[in-house]
Amino acid sequence: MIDRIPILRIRDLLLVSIQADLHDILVEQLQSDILKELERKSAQGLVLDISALLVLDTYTARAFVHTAQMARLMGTRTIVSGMTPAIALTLTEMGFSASGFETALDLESALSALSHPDLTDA
Amino acid sequence: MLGSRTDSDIAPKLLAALEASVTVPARLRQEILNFSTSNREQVENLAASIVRHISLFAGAENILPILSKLDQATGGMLSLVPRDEKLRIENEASLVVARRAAITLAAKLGFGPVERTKVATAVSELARNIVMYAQTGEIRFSVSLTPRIGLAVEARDSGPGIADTEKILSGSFRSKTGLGMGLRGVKSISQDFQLQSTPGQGTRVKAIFYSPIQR
Repeated sequence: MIDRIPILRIRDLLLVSIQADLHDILVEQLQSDILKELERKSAQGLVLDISALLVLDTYTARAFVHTAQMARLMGTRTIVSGMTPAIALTLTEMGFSASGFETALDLESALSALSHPDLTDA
Repeated sequence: MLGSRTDSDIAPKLLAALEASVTVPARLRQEILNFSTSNREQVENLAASIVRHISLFAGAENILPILSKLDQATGGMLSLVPRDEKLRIENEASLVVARRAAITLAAKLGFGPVERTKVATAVSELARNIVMYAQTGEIRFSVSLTPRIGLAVEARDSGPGIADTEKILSGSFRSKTGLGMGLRGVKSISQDFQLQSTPGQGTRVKAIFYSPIQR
């Protein structure tokens, strides 16, 4: 099992592509790594791409909400991209509200939403 | 290991064994000839396709006999026959293992991607509760093919237990760690749900998922 998820910086955006089978220690590590990176140098947006994930339980989904809230306090907007229909359906049926973080269909939509905020008003 | 060589050996054997029992449509034939044994997702999808096909065209009662023949013909390389499993849950790593096992077993029962995700999510919630509150416990998977195709997930531990299960399930009590939300969630995504808990003795949760092809 890997013990760290890499955080990529592209201009003023942070990009995290979650490819691994997520476990809690990995999620906590990612959370603190993101905050450290934001402290080092501010970012306008943070994209968490989860298109490779097969399972997202309520604990991990809540961790994403917390990450988005913390990033918001540090002036960064978070978008979770690439949620599979299976995960979206499961979380909804479980009563998990997706209002805690912004979502985008795929990585490309997330990036365009972050670089052109006016496009997301509609 | 020569993955590709093994694959090219296995596909014709699998196809021949399946055709001996049931008519194989072109699409399934292609799936059999094109899958790679090293691609877990492809193997799972193929296993699911085969079970669905047998269930629809030969009847649920023929699933087990035909899958046994397929396993025999391929030397057990794919292990298509779904079997009960018992996994010890004691840490983060076992949680990931349990989730993976759930997806594979659900696929072997012909569950589609959404159903597989639901089963694995339930396992994840239940296994996490064990790690968080009881430290150790176990997850049991029990499969049934007749009268309905179903997968029962049972979590057992000898932890502190839950004092008021009604309160937890109704949502009137919210734990800081989200125990209630996880259990309520598992209840709402499964077709049958039982929660038994005795303070000081432990907790037993059983959630059953039925295959949508004959629900």
